[in-house]
Amino acid sequence: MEFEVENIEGDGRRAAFVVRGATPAFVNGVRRAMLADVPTMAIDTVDVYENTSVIFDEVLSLRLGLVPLTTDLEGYELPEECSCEGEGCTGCEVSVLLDVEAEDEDTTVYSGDLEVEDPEIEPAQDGIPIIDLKPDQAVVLEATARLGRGRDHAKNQGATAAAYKHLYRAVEDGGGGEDVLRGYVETLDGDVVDMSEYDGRVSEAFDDDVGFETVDDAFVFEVESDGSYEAEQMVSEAALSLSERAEELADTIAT
Amino acid sequence: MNVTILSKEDSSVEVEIGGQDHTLLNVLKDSLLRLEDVEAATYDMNPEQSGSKTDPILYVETVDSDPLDAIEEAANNLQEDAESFEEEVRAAL
Amino acid sequence: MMVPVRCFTCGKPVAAEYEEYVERVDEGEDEEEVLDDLDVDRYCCRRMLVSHQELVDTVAPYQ
Repeated sequence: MEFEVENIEGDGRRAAFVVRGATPAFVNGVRRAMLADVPTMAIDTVDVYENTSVIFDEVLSLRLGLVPLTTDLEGYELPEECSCEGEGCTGCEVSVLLDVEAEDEDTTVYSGDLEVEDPEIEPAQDGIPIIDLKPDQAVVLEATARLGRGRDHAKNQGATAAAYKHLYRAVEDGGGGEDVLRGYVETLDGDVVDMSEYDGRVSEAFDDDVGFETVDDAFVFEVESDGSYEAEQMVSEAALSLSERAEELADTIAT
Repeated sequence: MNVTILSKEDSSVEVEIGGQDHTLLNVLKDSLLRLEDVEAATYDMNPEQSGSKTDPILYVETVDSDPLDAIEEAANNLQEDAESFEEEVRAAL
Repeated sequence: MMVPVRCFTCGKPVAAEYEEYVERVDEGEDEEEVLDDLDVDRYCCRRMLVSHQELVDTVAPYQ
């Protein structure tokens, strides 16, 4: 397949782009890989030393697990692929500490209070409230963060939105037909416009006699990441994971 | 990847592909069907109504070549496609 | 109890926006505009903030 990728908009966590020359099966493979295969870092086990708050240890641990951490795929391996065979070593896990005491006033513990041993890994957002402490309550805990995949736990689903649809194209003398269109539409000049700029109203964006058809091999992707990756890195990692699997299959079949 | 050949004849084959799901198999099927020599290709995620507790089975029928070679070629094409897509994405975004 | 960290449906982290959301709505801003402004676009994520009831203060005395 000869691909052509055209950026529409993107700012770190979000990206929108057009892929031309692809088949529906291929883009669906990429979408599924983004949701379920691209590994992200997340807290996986927690040792609670002290928790005198009104939140149970289990609930606290779940909340910690859901905090997105920035992911460094160069520095860490998935535990099952690591040379330690899942035992746990510096190559596949990192320790996270949390030690907060509310002295004489109400305190909220935020994700920014987490101290990660490796400076490369940090909470993607600092302002996530983890737990509320009343005076004299405290939490002290040590957690371990590991890589994991979205198909095993939702906390590891790096893409909070990964969607595509066929690109619409305006054609001359189409006789109108559509009143409202959402999303991105290719104009007669070949530019891609965002219909939300016109509130979706076709009459404001196009001439009266323009009609619309879908472009068979072009897809508009909209991707949003949870902060573990930049959106475009997410797409490339998904494509790489697909290619790795294909390579593995070809090698196995060949032998 | 654990691949087991369940049955094989001159122009058809049934293989069980361990640990994989629609993410790989649907794209692979598409890649197989685009090969000149492949007459039929499909897969079953839920063979024998196992409730998806077993691995998916891929079925391939060719006109007159070895179906295993077809799978290998399709997988190689897919790998190239995914790599070129990745390059395009990195260049464009 | 506390605001869910992520949206139940799509997984977007929404908890970090909660405090600002409550503050701005209390000041009289329109909920719809605040949510749009905070980039909480999808209705699955919006209901997480709109329908949340903070209960920590209610249960605190019973620890």
